[in-house]
Amino acid sequence: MKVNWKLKDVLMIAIVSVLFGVVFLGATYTGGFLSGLLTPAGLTSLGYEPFYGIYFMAAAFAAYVIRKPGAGIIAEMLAAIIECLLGNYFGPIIILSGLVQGIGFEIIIALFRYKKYDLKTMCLASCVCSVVTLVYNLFISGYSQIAVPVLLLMLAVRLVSSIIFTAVITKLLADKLAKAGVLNGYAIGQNTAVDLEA
Amino acid sequence: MKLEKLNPSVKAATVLCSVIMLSFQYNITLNLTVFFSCLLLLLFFSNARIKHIIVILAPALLAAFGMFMMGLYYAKGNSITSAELTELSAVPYAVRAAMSTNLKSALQLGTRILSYAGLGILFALSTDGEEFISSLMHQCHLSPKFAYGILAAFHLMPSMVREFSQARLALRTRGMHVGPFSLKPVFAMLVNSIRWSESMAMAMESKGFAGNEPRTFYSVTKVHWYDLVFSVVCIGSILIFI
Repeated sequence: MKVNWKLKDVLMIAIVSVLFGVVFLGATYTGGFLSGLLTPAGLTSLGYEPFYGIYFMAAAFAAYVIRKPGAGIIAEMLAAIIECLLGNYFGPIIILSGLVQGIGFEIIIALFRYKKYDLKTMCLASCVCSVVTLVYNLFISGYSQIAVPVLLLMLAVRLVSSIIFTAVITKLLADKLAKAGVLNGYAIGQNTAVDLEA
Repeated sequence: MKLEKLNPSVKAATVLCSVIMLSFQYNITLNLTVFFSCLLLLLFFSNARIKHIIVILAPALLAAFGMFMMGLYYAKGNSITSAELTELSAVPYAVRAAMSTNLKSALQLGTRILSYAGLGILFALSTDGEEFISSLMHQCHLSPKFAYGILAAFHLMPSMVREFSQARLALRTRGMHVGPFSLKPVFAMLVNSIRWSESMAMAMESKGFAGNEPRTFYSVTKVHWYDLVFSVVCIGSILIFI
């Protein structure tokens, strides 16, 4: 399972995951605003759920583009360490969350032996990732204390968000990049090149 | 003795161990004790400025309050049932009863966020980023390829923010509408950043950077006896409390 990572791959994943952070920073602000609005109704955590898929984008992009075992996990860990450097108030806890998110996403990809990368697989991986992270939240954030219907509502919103951001948008962006020829040096670019010849 | 002097990896591991221990506890006093101890440690044993502590703590306080409200309304088992609501005379009592039983869960959830945030900022405000990465390399055997990759991406961030707003502006000058979720500027930025990563990798390698070969370091972080004392004292005092 030991994969040889090139410096180019590491830099690409690190920079792209920072990029997703920068680009969708506005979304987290919207999430904060939405949570503020929902606080009087006691549904604060629900405000962040519509944007939850954004957190998995680094893993999805890396797994989809590099197509090597561990790509998703490593991408999430890199993103988490960078977020930690930026001074998030949860500090090193973010690294643990990143690990869980990365593993959550890679479960399905690994089950298909890193060979299937169609939209269905990406959606399935995003859904499993949502469930895994909510189970993690049950323990770490104490969500196990919350009533089940509310948790189900949160899970539903998180599932939709992860399908939109993690599966559909990430795949769309990566496919467009591959078509433009920017990703020729990566597994995904080589696959499309083969397709064109056939 | 300042918190800044501690080894970042040991500090991070201590914080993580504490968080995992706290995640199995529903002890309000313990959570608050952890939170205030972290604040006191930061105030008296670090160079963190009070203003900085307040700025980083404000969103954490909001999140904790949010969790508190959520627990108050929707804690498991004690939520107000529709049956209780239909009995009109019982309403005020039922609401009050639910609130009072939920208050404990609400406090448990809210203070838990506080204790995490306390531990988190204890690390965040007393740790230098580059020292943390260097320590991950020397203590946690992170490969230099990843360590310098992270640092490169981290230092690219300001340029990325600038480029992103330029990409949006460029689209707007061409009369295209750019919403907060438009993918066009994101796409342009992705193309840019992949090119950057390639040229940066080339630049680093042409300067002699090789990820796998042994190299020398300007500064090597070490684990000292006081790092272990800090770790043992922190984890030990939580264990005693449990």
